[in-house]
Amino acid sequence: MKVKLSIKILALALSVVMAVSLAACGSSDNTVPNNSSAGTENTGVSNAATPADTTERPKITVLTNINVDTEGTDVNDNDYIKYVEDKTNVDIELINDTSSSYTQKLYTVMASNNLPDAVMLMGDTQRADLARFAEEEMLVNLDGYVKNYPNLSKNIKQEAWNVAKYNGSIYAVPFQRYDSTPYMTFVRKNWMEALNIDPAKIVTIDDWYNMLKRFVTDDPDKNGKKDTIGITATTSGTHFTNFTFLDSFGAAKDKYVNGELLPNYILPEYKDWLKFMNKLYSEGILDPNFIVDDPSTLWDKVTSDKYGSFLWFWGLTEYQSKGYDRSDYVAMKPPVHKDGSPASYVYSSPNRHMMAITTECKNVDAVLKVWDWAASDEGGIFIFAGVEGKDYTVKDGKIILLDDRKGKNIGWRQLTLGVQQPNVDHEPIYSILKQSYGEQGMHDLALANECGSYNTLSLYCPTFSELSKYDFTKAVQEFTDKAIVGDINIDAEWDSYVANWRKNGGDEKIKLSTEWYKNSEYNTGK
Amino acid sequence: MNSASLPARFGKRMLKDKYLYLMILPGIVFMVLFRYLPMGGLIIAFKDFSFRKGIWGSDWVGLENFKFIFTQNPDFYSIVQNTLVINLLRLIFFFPFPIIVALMINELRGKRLKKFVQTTVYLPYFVSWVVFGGIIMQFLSPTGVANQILQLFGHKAIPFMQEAVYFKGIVVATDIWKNAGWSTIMYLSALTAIDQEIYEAAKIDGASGLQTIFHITIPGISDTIVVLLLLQIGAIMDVGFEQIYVLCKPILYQTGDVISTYIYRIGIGNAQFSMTAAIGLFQSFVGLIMILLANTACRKLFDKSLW
Amino acid sequence: MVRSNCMKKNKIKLSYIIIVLFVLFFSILCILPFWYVLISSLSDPLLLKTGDVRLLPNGFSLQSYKIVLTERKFYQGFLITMTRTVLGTALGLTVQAMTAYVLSRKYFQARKLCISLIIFTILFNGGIIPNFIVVQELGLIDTIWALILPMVFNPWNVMLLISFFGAIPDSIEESAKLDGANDFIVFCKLAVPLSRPALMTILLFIAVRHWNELMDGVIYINSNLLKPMQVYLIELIMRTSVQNMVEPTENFVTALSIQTTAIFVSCIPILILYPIVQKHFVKGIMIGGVKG
Repeated sequence: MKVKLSIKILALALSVVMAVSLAACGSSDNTVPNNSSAGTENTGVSNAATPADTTERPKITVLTNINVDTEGTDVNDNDYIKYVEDKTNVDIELINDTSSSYTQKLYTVMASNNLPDAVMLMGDTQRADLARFAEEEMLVNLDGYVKNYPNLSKNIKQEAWNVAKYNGSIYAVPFQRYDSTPYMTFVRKNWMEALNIDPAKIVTIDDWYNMLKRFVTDDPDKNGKKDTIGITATTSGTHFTNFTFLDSFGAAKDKYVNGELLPNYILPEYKDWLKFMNKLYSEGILDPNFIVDDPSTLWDKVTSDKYGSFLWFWGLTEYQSKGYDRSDYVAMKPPVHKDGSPASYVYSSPNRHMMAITTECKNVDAVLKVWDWAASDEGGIFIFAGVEGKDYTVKDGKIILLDDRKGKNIGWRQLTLGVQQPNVDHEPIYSILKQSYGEQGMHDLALANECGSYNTLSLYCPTFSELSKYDFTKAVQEFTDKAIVGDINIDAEWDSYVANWRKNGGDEKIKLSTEWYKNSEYNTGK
Repeated sequence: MNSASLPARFGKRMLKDKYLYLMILPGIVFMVLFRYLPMGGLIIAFKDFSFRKGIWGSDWVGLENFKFIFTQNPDFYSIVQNTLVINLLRLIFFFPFPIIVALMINELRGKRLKKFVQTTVYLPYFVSWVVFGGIIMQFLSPTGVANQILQLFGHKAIPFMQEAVYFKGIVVATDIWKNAGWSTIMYLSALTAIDQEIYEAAKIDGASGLQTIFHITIPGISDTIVVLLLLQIGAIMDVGFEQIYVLCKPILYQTGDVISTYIYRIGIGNAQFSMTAAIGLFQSFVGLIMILLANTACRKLFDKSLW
Repeated sequence: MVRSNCMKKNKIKLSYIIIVLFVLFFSILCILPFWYVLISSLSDPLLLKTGDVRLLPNGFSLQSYKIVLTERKFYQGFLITMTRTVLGTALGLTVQAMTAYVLSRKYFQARKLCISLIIFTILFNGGIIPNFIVVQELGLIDTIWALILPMVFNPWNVMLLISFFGAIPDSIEESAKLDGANDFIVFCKLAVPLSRPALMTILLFIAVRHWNELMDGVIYINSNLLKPMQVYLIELIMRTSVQNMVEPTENFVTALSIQTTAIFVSCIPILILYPIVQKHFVKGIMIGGVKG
C-alpha cells in the first residue's frame, strides 16, 4: 500500500506540474469561450512581429474543417491567415475539426449555447443540414446581402447559388468548385498502343466494351499471362467510382416519367446499366475485388500495372506523388448515349461545401467582406498562388511560382477562406494553375468540365424533413452490388426491388418531389 | 419494531456506517452528474428534436417515433434479428474463450512461457478495426491469401465477404481474434485471488488436474464470471459499430446491418436525434429486461447474482 | 504402484502438451496483426499495399514516423493525453475503488439501491448531445477537465471491483474492527493491499481507456492547444488521404502508413504499463492471516 500511495502522489505531482506548464504557455487560447460570439484574439508565441491593433478590427469565428497539411503551424497562427486578416481587416478565428466526425461536431456546436459566426456545411448532408438549420431560423437569410457583394454575386454561378437556397432564399455562400465536375475515366496509354487502339475511336458503349474486353483477352502487357483486368472500381457503398457508363445508359439523372419524378435508381435505364455491369463482371472485365476493396486500395492497383482503366479525380495527384507520370494515362470522355448524343460524368453538386452565417453573428458584413474578397481575382491569386515572397515572385508583371511551392497548400488556403473564386479560365489565374498542374493537367481539367454535369432535378429538389426518417440508399446499394456481382437475376428481381422501394417511403418521396417539380422552373412541360 | 423508531434506527445506522457513506459519496456525485443528468436527455425519444428549441423546448410527439420504428420501418426486424443473432453467437463462442485461455495460461509452468503468452494475447486489441478490418477484407478477398490456399487444394475461390452465409461467423471469429486476449487479463487477475492453501489441500487429497479446475479454480473466479456474463447479457441489443461498419459492405446489408450501423446512417445523415434516441431506449429496455431475467436465473441456479 | 504413477504422469503430460500448443498457436495468431502493423509502419509508403501479408518491411522507411513525431502538435497532444491519463486514472481508480468497496460490504444499507442505480447507468445512456450539454453547463468545455471528470465514474469497473472486493473474507474485517479500526482504515490498510491485482487491472483498464479515447476530444474541445493525441492522430490520418487527392507532394505517405504508425504510438503506454501490472499478478498474497 505504501508503494502504491507514493506512486499515486508522484503521479499527481507530475500532472500538477504538467497542468501548470500547460496553463503557462499559450494560455490565452485556453480560456473558456464566453458567450459573446466574437471569440478570442489570436495570440501565440510567434506573434511578435504582428503590428498591434490600432483600431478594433471586427472579429469573426468560423467552424471549419481544414484537413490538409498546415506545415506544422496552427490554423489560426500562420502566414496565410495573417495575410487574409490584413487584406480584409477582419480578425478570423477558426474552430477546426478535421476528424472524420465533423458532422457530429457540427451538430453539437449547433446544439450548444455558443454558436460561432459562421459554419461550414459539408459532405453528403450539407443540403439537408442547410434546410434544417434554415427552417429553425438559426441561419441568416442572405438574400438582402449578396447583391452588395459584387464578387460573390458575379463570380459564383447561379446553379451553385440555387443549391444554397431554402424556400427560395439564399442561406449560405457556396464553395463552387473550379472543376465543375472532378471525375474522369483514365485509360492506360501503353496498353492502347500495344493493341493498336486509337482513343479517338472509342466513342460508343460497344467501343468501350470491345476495348476493355481486349484488355483482358489480348495480353496487353505482353507477359504471356491472362492476368489483366479491364476496369476497376469500388462498391456503391463508398465513393461510388463505378459511373463511367452510368449516364451513357441514361441512368444517372432523375427523370420525369408518366407524371412522376423518379430517382435514377428505379428507372428502367438503371436496370440496363446493371445488366451491362454484370456482363463486365462475369467476363472478368470488371475488377473481381471491387465489392470488398476499400477505395484506398485504388493506387495499389493502378501502380500494379494490371488494370486497364479507372475512374478518379482529374488531378491524378496521388499517382504523380508516387513518382509516376500522368501521361501514362489518357483521360477519356464517357461513351455516348444510345442515340449518339454526348453523355457526361454526373457529379452530385457544383459545390464542395457551403458556408452559412448563424443568427448569433453580430457582424454579418464582416463575414461577407472576407468571403467577397475570397471570390475576387485578388483572392483567387492568393488561393492558387499563395503569398508573394513566400510562394511566388513577380517577373515582368507575371506571377512565377517558386519551384518547391508549385501546387502546394492550395487546399489549405481554400479552406481557410471557405469560399473561392471559381473561375480559373482567365488571366492571371489560368497561368498560375498551369504552373501547378502542367499542360496535360489543364487539358484534363478542361475535359472534365466539358464532360461533367449534375443530376439537376435531384440537386435542386428540396430535402423534405418528413422523408428524413427513411433510409433510401440501403436497399439501392444492396441491390446494385448484388446485381453487378450476379447474386440475383436482375430481370426477375427488378420489379420487386422497385415495388419494395416504393413501399418503404419511395412513394412518399415521389409524391413530394413531383409536386415540387410541377411548380418549379425545371419543369420542361414534357 | 414500532415505526416511530424507524428514522431513528436509520439515523443510528447511518452514523455507524458514516465512513462508508463518506467513501461512496464522491462516486455518487460523479454518477449523478455525468450519468443521470444526461439521461434526462433521453426525453428526446418522445419529442421531435429541434436545435433551436433544445431538448426541453422541443415538441412532444409521444410514441410516434416508436410507432414508426416498429410498424413503418420494414428494415427494423431484420436489423434487430442480425443484432440478436450476432450477440447470441458471441455469448456462446466469445464469452467462454478468454476464460478458457486464462485457465490454460494458469496451468502453464515456466515463467518465461507464461509471460510470453500473457504479453502477446492482448496485442490485437490495440489494432483499430479500421486497420484490422482492412487486413481481414484483403485476407478473405477473392484474390487474397485465404483463397490462394484454397486454390492450392484444388478448391474454387470463395468470395467470403460477399456471401451471406459466412458473415456472422466471420464477425464473431474476428472479434475473438482481436479482443479475447484483452479479456483474459481480467480472469488472470481474478485467478490470483484464489487462496493458495485450498490448492495445497486439494493436492494432498489427491485431486487430479481436471478436478482441481472444476472444483476450485472455476468456483474461485465465478463471481467475476457472473458479473461479466450478466453485463454481457444486458448488452444483448448492442453490437459495436466500428467492426460491422468496416466488414459489412452493402452487398451483405441483409445479413450484416445491425442497429448501430443503421443508427449511424439515419442519425448522422439526417440528424435524426429523436429516432436514434428512441431506438437507443428500445435497446436499453430490452437489455434491462434480459439482465433482470438472467440475474434471477443466476440466483436460483448458482446462488450468485448482481443484486 | 509405480506403474500407475507412471501412467498418471504420461496422462498429465499429454493434456499439458495440448494446452501449450493451443496457447502458443493463439499467441502467434495474436502477434500477426500487430506484426503487420509494425511492418507496415516501417515500409516504404510508395510500396505499401493494404493487407499485404509479409514478414519484413517492403522497403524500409521511417517516413511516417517522421511525419507523426516531428510536428509540435504531436507533443502538445501527447502532453494533454499524458495529463488526462495520469489525473484521470488516479482520480478514477480512487473513486471507483472506494465506491466498490462500500458496495461490497453486504451490511451496507443502501447496497441494493446503489447497485441498481449503477446497473441502470450501464444500460441507459443519454447520448452525445445531452452529455455535451451537461459538460457545457458545468463550464468544462475547452478545459482539460472535460476529458477527465466525465470518465471518473465507470459503472462497469465498479461492478467488477465489487466482485473482487467481495472475495475478502469477513473475518479479516471483523478482527480489524475489533482492534478499533473504522471502515476507512480497513479499506486503506487491508482491502487495498489485499486486492492489489484487481486494482492494478482496473488501473490498467482506466489508463488504456484514457489514452485511446477519441470522441471526447472531438466534441468537448475546440481549442487546438487542448486536443488530445488521439484527435491529432485521427486528423493526421484524415488529412493524409485528403491531401494526397488535392496536392502533389514529395513526402508521399499513405493513410495506411500513418494509421499503422499511429497504432504503434498509441500502444506505448500499455506496452510500458502492462509488465508493471503483471508483476502484481502474484498468486495467493491473500489470506495467510486470520485463522479461527
